[in-house]
Amino acid sequence: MTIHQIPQRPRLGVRILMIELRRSNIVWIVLGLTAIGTVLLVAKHPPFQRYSGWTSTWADGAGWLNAASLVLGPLTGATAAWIAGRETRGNLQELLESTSRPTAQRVLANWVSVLIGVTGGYLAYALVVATAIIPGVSNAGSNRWLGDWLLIGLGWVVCAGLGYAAGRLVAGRLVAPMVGLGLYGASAAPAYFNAQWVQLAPVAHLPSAGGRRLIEWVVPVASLWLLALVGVTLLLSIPGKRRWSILPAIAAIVLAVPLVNMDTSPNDYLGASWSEIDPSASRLVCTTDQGVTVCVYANHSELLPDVAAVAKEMLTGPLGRSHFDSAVESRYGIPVPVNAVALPDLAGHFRTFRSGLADPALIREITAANLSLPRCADETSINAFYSNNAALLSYAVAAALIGGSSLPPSPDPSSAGALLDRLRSAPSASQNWVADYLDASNQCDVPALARIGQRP
Amino acid sequence: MTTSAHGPMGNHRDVDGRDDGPAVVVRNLVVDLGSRRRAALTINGLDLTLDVGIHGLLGPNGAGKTTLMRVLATVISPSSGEVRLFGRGTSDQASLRKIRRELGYLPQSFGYYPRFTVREFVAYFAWLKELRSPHPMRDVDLAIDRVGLSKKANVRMKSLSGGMLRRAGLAQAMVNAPKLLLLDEPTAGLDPEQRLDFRALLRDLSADTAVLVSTHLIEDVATACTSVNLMDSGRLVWSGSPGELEKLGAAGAIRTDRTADTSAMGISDMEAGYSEALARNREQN
Repeated sequence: MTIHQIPQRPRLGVRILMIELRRSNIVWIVLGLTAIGTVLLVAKHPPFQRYSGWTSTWADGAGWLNAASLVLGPLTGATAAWIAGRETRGNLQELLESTSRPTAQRVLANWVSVLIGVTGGYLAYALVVATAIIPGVSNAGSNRWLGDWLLIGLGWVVCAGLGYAAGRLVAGRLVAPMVGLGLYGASAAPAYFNAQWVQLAPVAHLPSAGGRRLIEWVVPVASLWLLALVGVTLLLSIPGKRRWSILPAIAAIVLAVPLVNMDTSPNDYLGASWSEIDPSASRLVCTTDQGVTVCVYANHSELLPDVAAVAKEMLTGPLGRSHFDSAVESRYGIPVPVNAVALPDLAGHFRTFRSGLADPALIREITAANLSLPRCADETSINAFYSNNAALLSYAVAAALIGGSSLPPSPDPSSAGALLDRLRSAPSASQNWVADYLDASNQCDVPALARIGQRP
Repeated sequence: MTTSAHGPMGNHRDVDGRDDGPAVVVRNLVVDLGSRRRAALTINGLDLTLDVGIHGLLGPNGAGKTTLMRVLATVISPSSGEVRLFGRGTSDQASLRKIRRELGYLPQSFGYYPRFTVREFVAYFAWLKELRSPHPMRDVDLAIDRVGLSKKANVRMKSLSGGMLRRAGLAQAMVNAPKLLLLDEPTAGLDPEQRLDFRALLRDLSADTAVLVSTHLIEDVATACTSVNLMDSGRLVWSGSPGELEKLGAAGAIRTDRTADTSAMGISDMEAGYSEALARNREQN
């Protein structure tokens, strides 16, 4: 008879975790989530879409991760449900019940492998998104976007937790796909509601957007809220411990109360929201060249050289210089000075994985269109502008300003096209005509615009 | 804190010197699953004592063999009666945990993780049984070697034949060098050659372990077991050695009809003894 000392540091546990990681297909989970997410990202851009729609800022990157989570979150849930169901699929319950190690430890070892897979998948995909952002990112804005990215990752973990609990509680091969579909539906449905509680959804409803940042206290509280949900799902997964899930459930309810009772921020178009305008991202940065000042928001400053080149082209011509001395990026709810040309909101005009404008011609078109539209403050004047042929004039004016051979899409292409032909046929007369148009447009003089439209 | 010697099928006396007595002591066991199952499987007042050695548990289908195995494996609880394993009761969680560390169980419907390799599967169950060993993977490899699967150690379970799966199941049951090894229909689904191999494996098991083999095949107990327990309708109706069962068959009133040129007269007598014992029990009841 021999006696062995009990080892001080058992190594079998680490080996079991490695087995769990291998046999739970962690590598495939990471690769699969990354690949699907990358396909979603690529499909959003030319040549698969007409316009880029991409913004290379960290806050907008969070917005994209948030949107992609609508698909990837449910996928992690379905995957976790499949992994959790292996004991019933393998018909192992009887054998497992005869072993001594507490069920909680066994479940935890499996759950840790799922957690590593989901976290690895999120980090890998976040790296892809970061790679798409970094070449064009402007170093402006606070670092609170890290909180956005953290909450989105925790949302994935919550989805995995929900799937895992479902896989352990309900037997059957259809559980995994049903979990995926259910999570997708449950994640998409809040979009139809305009309420604060929508932001509590683990995925797809974080108010992440360029030029905004999460309110400071929201990140830790929302993190704890999501971790409490993870705790609920984990305890529901362990037989004999399920009643203890009431504790994190209570914590989750307590944490949710302040998160759904936010005060409405003044002058904030989003109303009551977890996010606020980020002052450091929303300040204007400008460049002046040949007497023309071009300003964009700080978080889009990477595009300033490209945009300035486009704007200068229009503003240094006879027409531009006589009426405007600057070009300013417009943003929803923030007015552009009267003497400035409204540049387009540059969100959505970046190139993925590269720096620079996605489509300089589009910037030129939109700028010309903005320049040709009247500066009217009241809705009555705006309606009057669009109800008569003055609106048709704007299309031709825009085309003339950028020297294009084609018109932007208009309701009456033949009338606008005829006007454009007349403008081109008499360049010197057309400059006076366009100058008069711009004067009347800047003062929102709709009757004057109508008279100008009648001139030969 | 107790320590004990481990390697597959090693000796098992606790260092504190406690003698656990027989590995299995069952008194007046009653198990009634009727309220939860369509076909009620009941054990009705069963007594059983098992010590080291290889014991067979015979009986027709529905006799309650698997139910008894599940009770001894601590998978289900008795409705009444006493079950003591290694001198410990099975009613509280602390005792159950200690008992299960010393158990090896191969259920009738043996489930497995298809994607695990043999080595990973056995190592996983070594971990689940809280194997206390300075070299756990060495014990895993030893268990795999004992069942003749060394060359298949890195093959996934889903790629194994039925016989090899059973061997892998036996390896996981043996890896913690259990004091009590429970094998429920271990040769079910195996072809004749695989059954012969498995019986040879059973014979090689160490004499330091109590092994209970549940089967409805007399050949299984004849070739490997030192004692035979016969169950019928939830009760233990006969206990003895294989030789005694043969004698019962040779001397009993009910004979199976065998042709003179069969070379399996020994098995025939045992089969007869089996039938005789069942018949006597049914007559009395």
